[in-house]
Amino acid sequence: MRGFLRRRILWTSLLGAASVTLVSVFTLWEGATTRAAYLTGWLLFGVMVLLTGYNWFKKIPYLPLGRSEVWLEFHLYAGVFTGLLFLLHVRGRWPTGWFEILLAGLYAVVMGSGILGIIISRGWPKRLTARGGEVPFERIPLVRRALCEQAEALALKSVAELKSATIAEFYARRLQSFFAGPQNFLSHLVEVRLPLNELLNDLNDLNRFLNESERKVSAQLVELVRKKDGLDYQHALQLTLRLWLFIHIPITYSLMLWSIAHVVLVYGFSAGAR
Amino acid sequence: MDTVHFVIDKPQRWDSQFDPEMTEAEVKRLMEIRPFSEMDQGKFSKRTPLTGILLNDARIRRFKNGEIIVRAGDYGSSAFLLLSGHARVVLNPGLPAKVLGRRKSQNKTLFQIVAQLWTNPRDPEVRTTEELDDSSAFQPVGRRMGVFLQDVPRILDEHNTATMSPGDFFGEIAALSRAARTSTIFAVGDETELLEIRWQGLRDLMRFDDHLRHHIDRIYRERTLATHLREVPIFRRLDDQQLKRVIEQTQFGTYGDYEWSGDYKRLAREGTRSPEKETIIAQEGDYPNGVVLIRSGFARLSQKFGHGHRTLNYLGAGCEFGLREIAHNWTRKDSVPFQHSLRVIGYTHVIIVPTAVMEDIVLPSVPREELPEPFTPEELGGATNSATQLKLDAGAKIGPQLMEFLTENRFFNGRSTMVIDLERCTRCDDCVRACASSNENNPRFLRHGQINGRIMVANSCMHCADPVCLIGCPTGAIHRGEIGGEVVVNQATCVGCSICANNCPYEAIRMVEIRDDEGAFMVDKDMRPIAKATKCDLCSDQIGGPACERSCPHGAMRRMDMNNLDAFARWLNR
Amino acid sequence: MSCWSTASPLARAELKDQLPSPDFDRSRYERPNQDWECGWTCDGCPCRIGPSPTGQCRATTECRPLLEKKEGESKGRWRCTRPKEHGGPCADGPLPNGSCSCPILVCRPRRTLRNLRGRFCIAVSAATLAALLIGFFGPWQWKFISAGPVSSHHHGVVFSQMKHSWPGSEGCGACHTAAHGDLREWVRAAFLARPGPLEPHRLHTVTAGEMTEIDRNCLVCHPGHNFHQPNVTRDHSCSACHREHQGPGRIPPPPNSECLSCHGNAAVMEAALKKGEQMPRSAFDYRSTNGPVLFHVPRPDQGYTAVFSSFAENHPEFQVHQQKLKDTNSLAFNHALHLSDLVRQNGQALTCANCHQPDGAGAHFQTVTYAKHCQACHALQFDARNPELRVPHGSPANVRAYLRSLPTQYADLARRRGVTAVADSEKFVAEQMRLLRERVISGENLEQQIFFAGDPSKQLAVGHTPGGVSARARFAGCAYCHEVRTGGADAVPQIVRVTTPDRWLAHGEFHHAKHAIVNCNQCHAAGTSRVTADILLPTQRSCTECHSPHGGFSESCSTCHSYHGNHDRRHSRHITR
Repeated sequence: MRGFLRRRILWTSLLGAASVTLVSVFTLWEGATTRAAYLTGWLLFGVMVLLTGYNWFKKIPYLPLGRSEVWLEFHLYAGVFTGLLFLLHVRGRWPTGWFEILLAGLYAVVMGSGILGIIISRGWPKRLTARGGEVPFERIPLVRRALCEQAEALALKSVAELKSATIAEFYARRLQSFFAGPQNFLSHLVEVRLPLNELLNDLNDLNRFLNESERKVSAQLVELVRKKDGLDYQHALQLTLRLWLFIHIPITYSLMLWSIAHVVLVYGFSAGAR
Repeated sequence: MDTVHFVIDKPQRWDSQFDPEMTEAEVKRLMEIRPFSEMDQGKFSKRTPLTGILLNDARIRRFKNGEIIVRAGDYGSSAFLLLSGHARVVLNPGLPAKVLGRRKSQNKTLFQIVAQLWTNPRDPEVRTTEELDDSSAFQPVGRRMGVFLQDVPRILDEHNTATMSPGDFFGEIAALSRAARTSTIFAVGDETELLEIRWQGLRDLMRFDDHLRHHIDRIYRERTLATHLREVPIFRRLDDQQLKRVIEQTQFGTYGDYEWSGDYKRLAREGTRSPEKETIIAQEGDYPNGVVLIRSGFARLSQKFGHGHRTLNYLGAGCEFGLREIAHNWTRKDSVPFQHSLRVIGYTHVIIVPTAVMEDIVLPSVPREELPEPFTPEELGGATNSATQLKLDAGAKIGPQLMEFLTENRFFNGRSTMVIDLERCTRCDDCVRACASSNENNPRFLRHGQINGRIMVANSCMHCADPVCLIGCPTGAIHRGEIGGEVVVNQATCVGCSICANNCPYEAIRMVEIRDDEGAFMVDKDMRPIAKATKCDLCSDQIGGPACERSCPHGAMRRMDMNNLDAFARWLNR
Repeated sequence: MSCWSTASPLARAELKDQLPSPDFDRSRYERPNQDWECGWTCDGCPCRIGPSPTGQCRATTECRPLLEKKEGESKGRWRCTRPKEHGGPCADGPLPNGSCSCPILVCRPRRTLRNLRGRFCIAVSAATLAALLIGFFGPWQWKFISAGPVSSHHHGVVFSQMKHSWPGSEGCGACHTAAHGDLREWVRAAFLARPGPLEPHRLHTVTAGEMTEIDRNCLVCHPGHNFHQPNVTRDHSCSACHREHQGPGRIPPPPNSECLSCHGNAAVMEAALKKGEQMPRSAFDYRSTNGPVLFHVPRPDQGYTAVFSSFAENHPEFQVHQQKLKDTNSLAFNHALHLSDLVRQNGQALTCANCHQPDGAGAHFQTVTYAKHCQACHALQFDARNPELRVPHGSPANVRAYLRSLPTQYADLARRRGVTAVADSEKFVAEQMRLLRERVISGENLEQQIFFAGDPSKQLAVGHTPGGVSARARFAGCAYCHEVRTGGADAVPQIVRVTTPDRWLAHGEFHHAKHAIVNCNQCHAAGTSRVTADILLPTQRSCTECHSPHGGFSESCSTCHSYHGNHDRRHSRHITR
């Protein structure tokens, strides 16, 4: 059996077993104690601490605490498990007090961003690979600068050698800003190639006004434009693959703080009531 | 049709002299002493006369008392002839690593590992004085750095040594077969003079001088062939007498370019390398004249496919070729030719046991059931789906394109190649950060490299089976670890010459300018920054193996042994 | 000539749609682990020095020139020491004063993405803490931390008046002691809670219904915790059943688990039984004296301490059936006869509703009375020729008085028939009296007949309706329906008092209107009951046909039972503090 499939089955069955155990234990608790919500609450909090711990685990990679891959699998499936715990804890209804609405809201944001994160983490690498032009994220400015310099040199060369300003003028009008920085972030994210096609069309139109040697330059420019577009694509996707954690992790800490306050309030105010 | 030619000087055999300071006078002096005085100059070709070999491929080196000539475990491409003075060989057990000026390979304690959390410097490439001041064994000798044994009398007391006298030849096996030096040899007395001959010169000397060839042949057969053959299953049942007879008739040879690593990458990029230019060891369709055993280096196993050849696999040290054909012919009284071709990739050292010896001595000693299966008529008819064929055909498992990619870029060399599945990798750089945390806040690889389809081979040290980076290190700072065989650089003894970095065909070694703990660059007297070679050390001082692989959250990265393509194929199709 | 089928790598790259990837073979390492990167990085030209760990630009010059003195020279020459990798010695060379002529442009180092994320985490955490503190100490602190709107019970006029007792806490302090202070008090209260926040492992030992601090606060307004059976061994938590902050409106009914925490627990029931045995029987005589009349069910010896787990499964049978009780009513009534075809009213057979008419709410029925429900058929006629004359119902003394004044009654009848002349009237009276005397020997005898005759075959008067239209029910004498005894004061016979209970189930409520979808006889076997002693209540089994998980209707305890209320149905007094 293929490795991924086997792993998925293993984790899913673990999750299933844990869920069944939880639900049956929960029904037992419901009968045995008035504090079933406390127990699910603590369980939820404990699992959330473990989930938050994944962030800290990554900071000490040299300790042989097992493979990050396994931890992530645990993180994912335990994350789903918290969904069930959460539902049991709130007894399937949305809370009514402001404090608790915000708490549930924070949970929803963390859960939602996590789901979004795993979707793009599993899906987008294939897009990046298919498009090619692989480059480490931090090197993108370097490559961009190199492309920009090449394009600028081509434009200047066309003026100096071919005694014509058509390409240089087009460069100044259309391409300078294109090469200056990351472009078309959103259209890259949603895989729309309209901006590139427009630019290439304009370059194509320009060819009508060019002579043979200028066309060679323009063909080189087309190549650079394609490369720059690929670079922007890498930038957009790689940046988003990093940015979703800007929601997931900070809100996780908010959620943890809010949960601690929740524990204090519950113990302070319920005085045993549920 | 008009084609553009680049006109460049064709490289000549002796464009670069081994030692520019080697003079005719010294050659003349050498010609008067044995063994050169006894060599028949007439046998040498006109283009490579003996004097030319001595002038261009040899140099005279003088060693002081206690200075190490060759160290056990080092890789070197030259042999030595003791001209005057004395040298001693340290017999088993060898000298401890510390005495040899190597970094002590030791694991960090658990506390030290946890302490990395706060002890890792925040600046890049910081070296503390303790790290660098490990070089008590190093002293400058003229323009070069020498490694000296401290307290020679005590070493003589405590270790078994054997004396070498003028006229003794050593280091030739390691040079020719590209194996690690087996023992340490150091100079005794300040006036020890040696002739160092690089392997190209040695090869020519052997070619034209029967005496030397026989001498080296004999040493090789005596010292290494027996143990090597014993390791091959088919020869295991031979008794000493039979083995001796096999050894006597065994041939061995070296193919390809010893220093293949230098240009091949450029050539591969330009597309000028093509397998048909590779030296053929055995050709498909030829009569099987012997079993080829690969001793070191790599060879490509290919088969005719259409009008071209398809790479089935590559064979590394310890693999055999042609046994099945010979066994088939012997059992079936048939005459099946070689079914595959064997070509040199880079450099290969092989042992060939002739068919007659196999049939007379070896095969009768082996029970029938242990012999390889004979070819079926279908296989001979060209069917490629038999079980044995499929087992051999790694190209089919990982796909022919990836196979070519690995072969073309010589990635098969890697014992711990970092492969990244780009369809799983989210480019999160967790591996780089983990690497940095485990290496004083310095990453030791670049998460980038050659790409084929969804597989990227990152620019990280592969800990090659045939580590070309080790050749030419002046101080032996780059060496193999004692336990895992990982290639590591001793930061204390690295002089920053960047020979290893230039030698490495996989761009896995990077030179860095080191800083002190304040973050200022360290400079030498000439205000030049001090550089050190850095590379992946497979986290050999940490517990739990390479941090990069462990830290990948998506299971996108693996350290793969490229000689086990089955594991690689399994990983690819996971 | 054999040629290789595979193209060169370059050619292959062109074939692919994948863009080529740039080479970084000889470049430096990428260091995403650092906190700062050179400010020129986004321009694509970071300097080789890099910012300090604290984010300061350390750019100086490209080299540090070296003073070279040849022998004999006094001044020497400054030499550029820029390394080969960075371009080798520069064209201009060092300045005369020994400084480098090529300064590196100073930048403002940028935080790396990773470092920014860390800072962002800290900022968000700080903002969260701030929001919490504002929420906890701000003007809407009680609204902020409230777990939701409280029920109308605790939100009414009376309750809002009590807010003043705990100034500032908007009434939270009435129940929550923690609300008497600020955050410090909340934390203190949290750690005083048992089990505390640091002992979650002890949570499962908390058994249901233990009195908590909040319940003691309930008792301040709702005093006395003695509204269930007197043999309850310990007080049950108020808040366990009555869960607050569930939104406006009524507090939702308590869950079964609360009742079952005792009634499903053999140990608790055993203790209650023990306690009950120690108590005098009179302690259990808590029956309300006003309100509806309950059918007297003797308390079983073991009290109500049977252990069960749900209504459908093993709830005890109703006591009327379990104790095989009989209706002790003295009135003789045959349900089967009345519902049979033999008895007709206006030509139609009787139905339940002819006698059992729902009360205003529809939950129960009006009391069946002679005047409303019996008289129409059972008019007390004693003289077949004069059906208009009827013995009064109600008191035996009145009957005697009526019978002793019979001549006057006949005269009155004559007058009502329009005989106004005195002579005619007297003649009519004498005639009727004579006929009467033919039937009975004396007045004494008539009285005896009317009181004690109960044989339905001997009719006093075969009747007709007052209009003489239909057959009348028979009146054989009082004893036909009633139990009549001799020997009262002045020898007036006594009629044993008829007692019809309003409620037969002492401990459960039943709402008839809500059960209108079933016919009466599906539960009450009236059609086969021939004697009064039959209690026509359905068994518990017949209830569970619907009130069970498979029946689909609620089987919660609160559907029928009220924990409080047996003792005193009035709501507890609201007291002011």
